[in-house]
Amino acid sequence: MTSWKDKVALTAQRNRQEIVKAKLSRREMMRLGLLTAGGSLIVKAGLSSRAFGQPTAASLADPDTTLSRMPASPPIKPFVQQMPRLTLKKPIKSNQMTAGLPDPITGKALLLPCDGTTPIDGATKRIDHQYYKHNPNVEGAFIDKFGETKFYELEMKEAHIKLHPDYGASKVWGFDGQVPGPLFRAKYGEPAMVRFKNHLPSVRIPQAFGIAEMTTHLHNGHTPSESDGNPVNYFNSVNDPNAVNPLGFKDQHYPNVKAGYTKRGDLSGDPTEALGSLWYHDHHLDFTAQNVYKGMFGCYNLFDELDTGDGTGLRLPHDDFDVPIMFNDFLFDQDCQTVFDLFNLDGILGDRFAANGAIQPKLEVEKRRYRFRLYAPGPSRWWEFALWDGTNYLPFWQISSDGNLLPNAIQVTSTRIAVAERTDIIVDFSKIKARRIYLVNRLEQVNGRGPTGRILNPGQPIIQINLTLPLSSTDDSADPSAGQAGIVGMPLRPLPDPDWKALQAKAAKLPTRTWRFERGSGGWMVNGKFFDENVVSAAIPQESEEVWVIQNPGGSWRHPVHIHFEEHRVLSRNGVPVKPNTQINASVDYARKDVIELNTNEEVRIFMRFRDMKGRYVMHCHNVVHEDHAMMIRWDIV
Amino acid sequence: MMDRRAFFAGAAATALVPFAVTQPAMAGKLPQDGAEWFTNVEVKTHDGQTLRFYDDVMKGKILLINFFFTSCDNVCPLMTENLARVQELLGARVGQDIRMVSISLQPEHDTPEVMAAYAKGYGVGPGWLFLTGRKDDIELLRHRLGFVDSNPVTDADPEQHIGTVRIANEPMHRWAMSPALLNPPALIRAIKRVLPEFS
Repeated sequence: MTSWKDKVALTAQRNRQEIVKAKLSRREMMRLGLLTAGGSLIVKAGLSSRAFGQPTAASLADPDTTLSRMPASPPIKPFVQQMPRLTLKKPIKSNQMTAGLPDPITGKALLLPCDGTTPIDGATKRIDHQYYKHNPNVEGAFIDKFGETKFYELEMKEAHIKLHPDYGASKVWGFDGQVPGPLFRAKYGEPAMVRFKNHLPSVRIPQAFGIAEMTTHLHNGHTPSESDGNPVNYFNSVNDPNAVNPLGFKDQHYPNVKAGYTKRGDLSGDPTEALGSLWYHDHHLDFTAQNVYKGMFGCYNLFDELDTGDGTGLRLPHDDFDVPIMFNDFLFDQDCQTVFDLFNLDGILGDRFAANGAIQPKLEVEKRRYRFRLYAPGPSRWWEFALWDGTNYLPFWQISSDGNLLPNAIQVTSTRIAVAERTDIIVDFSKIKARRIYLVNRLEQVNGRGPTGRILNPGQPIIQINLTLPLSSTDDSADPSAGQAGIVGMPLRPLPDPDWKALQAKAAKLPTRTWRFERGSGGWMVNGKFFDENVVSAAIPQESEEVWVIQNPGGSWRHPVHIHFEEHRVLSRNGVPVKPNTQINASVDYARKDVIELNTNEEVRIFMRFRDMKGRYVMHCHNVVHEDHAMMIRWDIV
Repeated sequence: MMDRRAFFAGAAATALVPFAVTQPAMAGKLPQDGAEWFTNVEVKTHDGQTLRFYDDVMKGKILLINFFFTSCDNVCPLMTENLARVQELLGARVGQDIRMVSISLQPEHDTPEVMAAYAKGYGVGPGWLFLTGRKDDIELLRHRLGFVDSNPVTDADPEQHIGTVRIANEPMHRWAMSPALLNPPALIRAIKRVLPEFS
């Protein structure tokens, strides 16, 4: 008789040999019956949960909420500092573009115009831009398919910023050393070439969290794949000169073209597909949450002949009265440094609330109409904004969903955004009697899995708004009510498929793909699989149309699901078609969107188009902690 | 299929050269660092050593940490075999600056002797430690390393904690996670992502 030890060893060896024989490929494992079709492993001989028992050690902290196991942030006095306005990014000439570190003797950086190529795949490869061609015979000469290119440089670097006067400086990483990064005001018909220069500290310098390699996604630009900020296209810092990309930069080309130009053959695209409030952020595979929380995000607004940015067209409030605000929640240690919980897979929350990088600021306004663009860069917090005068919630006009103008302005008293969503609102301060009101967040959220759904009263005040400034000029903006009573206001931008019934009928006949966002095997999965950058989960023919069904079988978490490249239309939630000019959970679904608020036990059907370009893109949960723990798929347009 | 030796030469040997951390450990005190967070609970290895978890197992290493248990018949063998192939590809670096760690979720059953026999069956080489210990201590490690589920019923099922590997660059305080069944070359790429210093 063999000993029990030999038996264990023999069994293990036999298991191993079987697996080796099967070469461990998914297909083989399925053939062996070890994997289900969905990709999860078949559990046959596991211990029952009862037999294993509950954690007993009293020292075990609550596993799911960071705030319960970390000390609270140092206290602050709210509403003592002004809310910062974002710095406007200015273009430069193409022959002024530089790369690398400044020369130690001359102090000048190497002049290096775009050469029509860009690094991908961890900067191990260099490929041509698809739509921006370099003329090799004339230095600095180029041909852009979509118009005259503007050139920009963004320097990613470390900075020390006081987020509150009561705080010491916090170490952050930011675009141009700012958090949020500078504001782009781009125009359709004017492509942008942005040089991202990584001047962050060397990867050899330890960090509390984050990694000093970057790949920036313009959310949700109609962007060629090589410039989309694909999670694998990160590149190193100039402070790591021995790395694969010694000059430490990557050029990204934003055509600023509306979707649908191929079929129209006009190189400008479908005017109803214009985007408005975009943003940019790091998208590094496995490290997006850490890098975004470290400060790697900023604003990008797009204008066209309707939403002009100068008071013409729809006559929306413009310039000084068009105010993007990015909202963050941070947790600080006693030295005022941001704390990131590396071992919380549900998502992380902070207990200090910042608007444009200032904790609980105040904002002085004139008694006129303002356009606010509200952003939720995450990592995990959802918000429901309202204006509170101490007694009542004041009405305002929602004009966009995910930054895309709605068919009509809608009068609301609150607006909800999940991580990565945007909403534009118009507030008419001339109609508000109080001298002081508060922008409050009414949505309760106690852990990273998503809001509880409970609506707080009055909510967490984020910005104190003082109606104190004298009128600097006549308000030339349009009245969103269009002089009519009721909640449906002025027409804005028509939808690409205005005939709702026709769209539903068409969708019923389209090919359908189903994506299940679920928890499993200790991480976050889509259709029972973890992300693998080399696995193409959907190969989609260019110019095709599909219906995607996005499912959340979970009863205790929500996922803000983001699909790169093109906006979609929500058809239905749990089988109920969405309705025009209405909110569901204080959000507008009857719109062009790029983030789906996927609530508990919900199934959302969306209509998708894949136009104009080819290449690899991703869909992922934009609770970026979930994304980093593998809740992402790669899909390609072929 | 790519020859293992060729893959090793191409992807691992040239890229994963050992590095030295050029900076001292983090100047400030981090909430999730050192023995205070990862603890120095006593663990026993499959080769009979008794070690303190942070000081002796983790400190200064590139780590692949997963949970397993020997009586898990269908799931764990796939992962252990997958990790065995990763160990082969990493070669001599496992045992130098890279350490692989598999912690038993069934410590009362998985004695050092049981784990030694298990490791032998998979041809586990030096530098890969199978760990057991007091049940409460192992539970504490599981929570501190983030192998938890917020649903208590799911959390109590050990099968839920064996699908992933935490990949850490401990001196750099850099942590990521990969599926334990990711094909070995992709898992090597994930390891490389936490140590770009190799270049």
